[in-house]
This record gives sequence, structure tokens and C-alpha cells, in this order.
Amino acid sequence: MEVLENLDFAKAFKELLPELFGEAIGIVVTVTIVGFLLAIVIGFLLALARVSKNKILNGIVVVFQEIIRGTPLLVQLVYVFYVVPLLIEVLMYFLGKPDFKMTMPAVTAGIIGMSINYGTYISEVIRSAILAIDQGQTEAALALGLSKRQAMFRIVIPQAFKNSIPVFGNYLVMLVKDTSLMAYITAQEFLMTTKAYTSQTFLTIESYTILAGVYLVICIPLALLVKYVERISNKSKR
Amino acid sequence: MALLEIKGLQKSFGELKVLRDVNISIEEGEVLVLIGPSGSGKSTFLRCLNLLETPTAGEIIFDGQNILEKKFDIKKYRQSVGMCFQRFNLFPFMTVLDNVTFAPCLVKKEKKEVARKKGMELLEKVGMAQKANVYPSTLSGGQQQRVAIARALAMEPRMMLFDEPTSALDPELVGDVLNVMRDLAKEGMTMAVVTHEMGFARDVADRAIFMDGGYVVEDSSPQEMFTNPKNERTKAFLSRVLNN
Repeated sequence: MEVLENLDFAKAFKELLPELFGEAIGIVVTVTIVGFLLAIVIGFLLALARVSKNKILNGIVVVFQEIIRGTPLLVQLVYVFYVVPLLIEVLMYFLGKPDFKMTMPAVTAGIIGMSINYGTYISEVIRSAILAIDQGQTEAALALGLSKRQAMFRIVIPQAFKNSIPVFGNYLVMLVKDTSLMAYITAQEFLMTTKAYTSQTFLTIESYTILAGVYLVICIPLALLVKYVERISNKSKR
Repeated sequence: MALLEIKGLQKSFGELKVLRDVNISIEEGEVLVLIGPSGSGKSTFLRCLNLLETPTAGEIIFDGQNILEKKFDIKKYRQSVGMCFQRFNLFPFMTVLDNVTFAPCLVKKEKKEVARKKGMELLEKVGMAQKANVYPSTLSGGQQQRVAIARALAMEPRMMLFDEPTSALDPELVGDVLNVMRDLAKEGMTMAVVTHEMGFARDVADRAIFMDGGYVVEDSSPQEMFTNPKNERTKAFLSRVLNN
């Protein structure tokens, strides 16, 4: 069989790996780290809005969460990359700047899309962690003369946050894998880089196998690290 | 003038009327025990006293001021009324000493060294100084409750509320906590204690209040109440409790 006869893993390794661990990994790491940190910030703010007593704020956030959870991440990335710049141009047109042109860098779009999507899911993690903190903690704080805000920020949230950290880790691993979706919005990450290499060399089996291997090499140690952190934080749960 | 005067206090949770009409005045330095069957409203009453529950109607006059008025500074008031809970509610992510110094530093803006020095003295007083730097989860229930008492005292309250402070403890740990409370009473602290510890009530309290169905049914000295209860419900309750 022709495919088997032409198998050349050595060549693919030599040529593709340096590309993957060059520019591509930079993009993956950047989007993962920046996107994830922003996701935690967004998740935290959304969670705070959800546990607040403000009904209007609550309603807005619930609608937002439903929109994000009810649409695919890939569609959201496409929307941020292609649609949002157009919307901004339209807005600028009405603000009296008809010549305004905007292009969204793929990496920026990736970071925005990922952080909003993951932030929404993380917000539910934080919210349930806040609700899971014993009401007695708040009462003890209030009884000591703390304001409600102080009780929330100084007593409840530190505990809720600490309890959420293991779950954050699982989302981090997912996010690494989901950066592959950015290939669809022209970001030169792992998948896009591999695809480009394949179309030049036709080393299809080799390239995509290496690609899968690269994800595994990153994600399995990361998952183990997350498990480790989880174990430590369970041990120190007081 | 009474330190705390409660007039016509009512509290409902939806349809459920837990406190129907409670009138009590508490003098400075008085030790008051609240007894009664479960569901009689004694814990709710205690929680109303520092506004963890907002009363539905009535007045609570503290030092001549009605604390239920809108403009009243609840935080300030809570600083002068310490509270201990059945389940201690220590802050698990802080060491014992930090539990004690946290509120004085944050709320009263005490200097850290001052608060720590005072905190150690309080821990000494409740017999927990040797555990100052451990986390609450490593302590027994009785030790946690003693730390909780020190934490409340660190705010230098004028009055202490105890909501069944020994109910969650193993029997052999109850004594240490009661001894701390006994010492506090001797020092002249004003105390209101919801408890099932009849021995403590008899020995330490100046006044016993029997509640049932959201009312104060009987209000007398503990000796009088335990030996010669007037009300039928008090008699029935005490005979059940004291015979066990």
C-alpha cells in the first residue's frame, strides 16, 4: 500500500516538531495563560454578581451565562474574530468616524473568546463554592462587628476560592486542548501549523499523530500536576 | 437602668410565629439562662439580640437606644455584644491566634502587636495559649469553643450571648467550656446563655427564663425554678430534663 510505503516519521519529526515548538507553542501558551487568568477574573466577577442581592444585575448575568453556555465555543471564537470588529466599525460609523477600520488579531480574539467562555463556566464553580461555605462563617463574622461586605470578602471568598482551585485545574487542561479551535480563526497554533505542514508534504498520518502526541505530552503532565495540587489542598483542608 | 431591655419582641418566619411576645430586661453583670423545649424560640430570641435575625416587631433598648431603629449602627452594636455558637464557627483558614486578633485588627483598627498581645492573654485565660499557632481543625470541640469565646472577648464586649455552647460537644469536653463561662460570670460579664446544662444554670445563673411557644413562661431565680416551678409547662419540662 502506497501510504505505508511512504511513511516517514523521521522526516516529519525533524521538520514539524521545531515548527510546533516554535511560534505555535508560544501562541498556545499565551492564550492558555492569559485566557485562563482572565477567565478566573471574569468568573469571579460573574459569581459575585450572581450571589449579590441585586435582582437586575442577577438577571443580566443569568441571561449572559445562558447565551454563552447555549452556544459552541467555536462559534463564539468565530463571532469575536469576524463579527465583533464589524460591529465596532458600525458603531464608529454612527459615532461619526466612517473611515474607522478594525482587524482583530487571531490571538486576541482567541484570548477574548476563551476567557469569556471559560469565565462563564468558572463563575458557576466559584458561585457554588461560595454557597457551600457554612452560613455560620458569615454569622460569626457579622457577630464580631464585620460589615456584610467584609464578611464576604474577608471570610467567605478566601475559603470559597481555595476550595475551587482543584476544579480550576481541570478547566486549565481543557483550555489547552480547546486552543486547537483557534485554527479555525487563522491562529498559527498547533493544529493550523500541522495542517499547513501536511498540505506541503502529504505526511498526513505522521503529522497528525505527532500533533496528538504533542497535546498528550502537554496535557497528561498538566493533569497529573492538577491531581497533585488537589491532593495537597485536600490534605490542608481545615 | 437595664443594659438591655426587650419589649414586645416578635419574630415570624413566614407564617411560623417563633417569638410571639417576649419582654425581658437584662441588668449589667447579670447571668441569664434561657431554657425550654426545642422549638420554643430561645435560640431565635438570642439571635435577635444581636440582630442575626431581624425581629418582626418590638423594641430592643440597649443602653437607652432602640437598636431596631433604621439609623442605628448595627456593626457598632454588635461589637459590644459577643456571641458564641453551638458549632463554634471558627475561621478554618486562620490559626487560633489569628482567629482571635482578626476582628480587632480589621474592625477596631487595633495595632497588630497590641491585638496579638491581648489575644495571647485571652487564650491564656481560656487555657488555649499553647495552641495559639495551630489551625482550628486540629482542636477538639471543647478547645474550639474556648477559642471561640476568646475570639468574642477580643472585641471587649459588654455582654456575651451563648447559643447552646456545649450542645455539640462530647460529654467529657463540656466541663472545660463551662468552667471558662463560670470564670467569665465571676468577673461580672453580662451573659445570656441558651443551654440544656441544668447544673450550670443552677450554679452560675442569677436568673432562669423558661420559654415555650414563643413566650416567656417563667422568669425567676434558678433555685426557685428548679425546686419550685410555678407553671405547669415548666414543671413538665424540668421533670423530664432533670430526671434524665
